[in-house]
Amino acid sequence: MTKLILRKLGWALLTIAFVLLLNFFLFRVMGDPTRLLKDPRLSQATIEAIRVRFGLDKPVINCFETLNPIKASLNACGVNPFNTQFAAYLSNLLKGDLGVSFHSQRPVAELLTERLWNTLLLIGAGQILAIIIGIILGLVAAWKARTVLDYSALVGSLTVWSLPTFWLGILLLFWGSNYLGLPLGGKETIGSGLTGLKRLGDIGTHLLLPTLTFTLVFIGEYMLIMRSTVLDVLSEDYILTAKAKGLSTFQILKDHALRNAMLPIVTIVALNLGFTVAGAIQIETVFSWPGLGLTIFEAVGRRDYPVLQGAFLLLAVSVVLANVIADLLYTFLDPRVRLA
Amino acid sequence: MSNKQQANLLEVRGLTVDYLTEKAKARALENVSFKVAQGSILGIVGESGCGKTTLMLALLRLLPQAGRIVAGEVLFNGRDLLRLSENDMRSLRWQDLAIIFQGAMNALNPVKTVEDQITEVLLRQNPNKTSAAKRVDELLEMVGIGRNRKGQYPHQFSGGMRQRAMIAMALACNPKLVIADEPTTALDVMVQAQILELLLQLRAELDLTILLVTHDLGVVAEVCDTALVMYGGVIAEHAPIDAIFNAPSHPYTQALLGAFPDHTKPKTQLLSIPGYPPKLDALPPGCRFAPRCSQVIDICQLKTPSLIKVSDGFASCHLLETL
Ligand SMILES: Nc1ncnc2c1ncn2[C@@H]1O[C@H](COP(=O)(O)OP(=O)(O)OP(=O)(O)O)[C@@H](O)[C@H]1O
Ligand SMILES: [Mg+2]
Repeated sequence: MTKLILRKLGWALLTIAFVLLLNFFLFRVMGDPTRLLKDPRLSQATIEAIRVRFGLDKPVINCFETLNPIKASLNACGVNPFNTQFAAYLSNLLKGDLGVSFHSQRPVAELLTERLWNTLLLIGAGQILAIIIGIILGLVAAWKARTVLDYSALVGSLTVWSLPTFWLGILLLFWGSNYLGLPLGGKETIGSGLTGLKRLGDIGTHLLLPTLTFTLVFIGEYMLIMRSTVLDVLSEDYILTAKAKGLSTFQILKDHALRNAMLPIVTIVALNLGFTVAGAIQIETVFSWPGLGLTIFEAVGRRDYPVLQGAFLLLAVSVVLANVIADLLYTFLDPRVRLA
Repeated sequence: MSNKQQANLLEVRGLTVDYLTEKAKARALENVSFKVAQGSILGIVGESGCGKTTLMLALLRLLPQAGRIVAGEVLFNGRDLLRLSENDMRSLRWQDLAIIFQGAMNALNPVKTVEDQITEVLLRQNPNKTSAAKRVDELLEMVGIGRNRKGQYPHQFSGGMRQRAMIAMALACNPKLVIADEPTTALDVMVQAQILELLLQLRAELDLTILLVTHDLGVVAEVCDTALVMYGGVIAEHAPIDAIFNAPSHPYTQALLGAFPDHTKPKTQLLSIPGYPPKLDALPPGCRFAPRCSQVIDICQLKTPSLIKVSDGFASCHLLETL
């Protein structure tokens, strides 16, 4: 068991190492971002100063010879390998320093942590609701397979599943703000001066529509997968045994079907994390929710590389970690894997 | 057997079951009637697909969605199970009627420990966890599984152990009737012998009534008191073991015995029965066995024979009527 966990963690670390490399080079192949500073009022000297300030004057890596395992010698081309952008990137990372935003001049790490919580709140609430409701709907639909209930759940799920995220968001925003008087966007009412519980309530009303969008986008998929898995599980011999044992419908679903059917859901939720991020970008943009998604959207528009680089790193690491958690959860749920 | 009414734990009358498939309606059981005395073991034999499992599931009202009980009565202790409400039926299941399924390999839930799966039924009867735990130890000991293995999952058990765990589970609530659908089919001869031995011993100790479905006539000869021979969804013959093996009345029983290796007479020629069992959605008119019967007469093609009393039991064959 411990060996298994260590192995999974080992793979996760390796993946993160690759992510670090990719993340670094991805943002260098686009060239020097100061090229884009086209404002005629900027003198060459100012641009040079900016380049020095952000370390862009240094070579990216000392040279590609370094990466050649046969000739591997750090000093292959006479540049101090510790005076490169790559070395700075790594040493800064170790210090938890993700650089400074081109746009707001604030430290990226600080900016991202602040926004990360908002995104986690949104994704967390949306995913948890989608998972719970999706699983229950799928379970009920499978139990009542080929009834009106089943067909309505099926049609509803397919419909919300096929709706474009941003379109659904805009629709809900229009409908919610028009008829229910819900806020148009943001995380809280600016300048309201609310504190304590009142402020939480205010945040809650702002969270309502984006969470609803998030839930609707994912609920269909979870419901459909749960339904088909439970249908499979219900045809298993051990379910017949459970019926023969005189267990009630509720007990059979809860004690025998659910746990077996949870296995694929755990996998899907983990695999979905990438799409969750994509969903977050769209939803946060529509609802001006100050999370990572909106940050990425804005940073792309502003060519704010340090922010983008930091956000990508953060997202990649969280997806990898979430997959590790899903893997471990799977192991916990299925004794055949755990004890193998 | 002073009081005949008391002596029959189970009496099935005219049980008829259909499977509704997309294309057609298949009559899987037709007019099945038999009685089982308290404390006896009834062997149920017949070719694959003749409706043995269907019969067992119908008794427990556990037929799959497509299955419909069209007619009949299932009297258990004088109560018609088919008329009980779903809730009353549920409270009888496992408390009074337990089943060991064909292929217990998959009959146990892979993600629950064996102990949990047995405890689950015990707690329905008595919510005391300590006494349930004690009972689990007792049951596992009875079937020869060490109590140190009770916390394990089914995949950690061998096939024979799973089957024995299933038997332990079936006995958990002291049922009156145990249905065993081919409990030993997938097991080697040694384990098979152990399990049959166990069933016999438990019958003696607990006064169980057992319905034992099997393909193996040797098993029937060894452990059963009476046998029910089924063919294509009907009863061909129902008689005590002696009569079945020494003086079979129905041509199908005779043919079945001829197709079974008899170890007491070396090197006898095995006689297979030519042809195949009937398709349930395209039954021949008249006797279902007629197309394969070596003693077929004119009336067999026209009229369905009814179950009639012969010396020691019952058989459905026109030859016996004309006698
Ligand atoms: N769910 C179902 N839907 C339609 N037909 C079915 C279904 N289950 C069984 N049948 C049909 O009913 C007939 C009896 O099947 P059953 O399983 O009772 O046979 P069996 O005697 O137990 O056979 P075996 O010895 O192979 O276990 C078969 O012809 C089978 O094709
Ligand atoms: Mg069968």
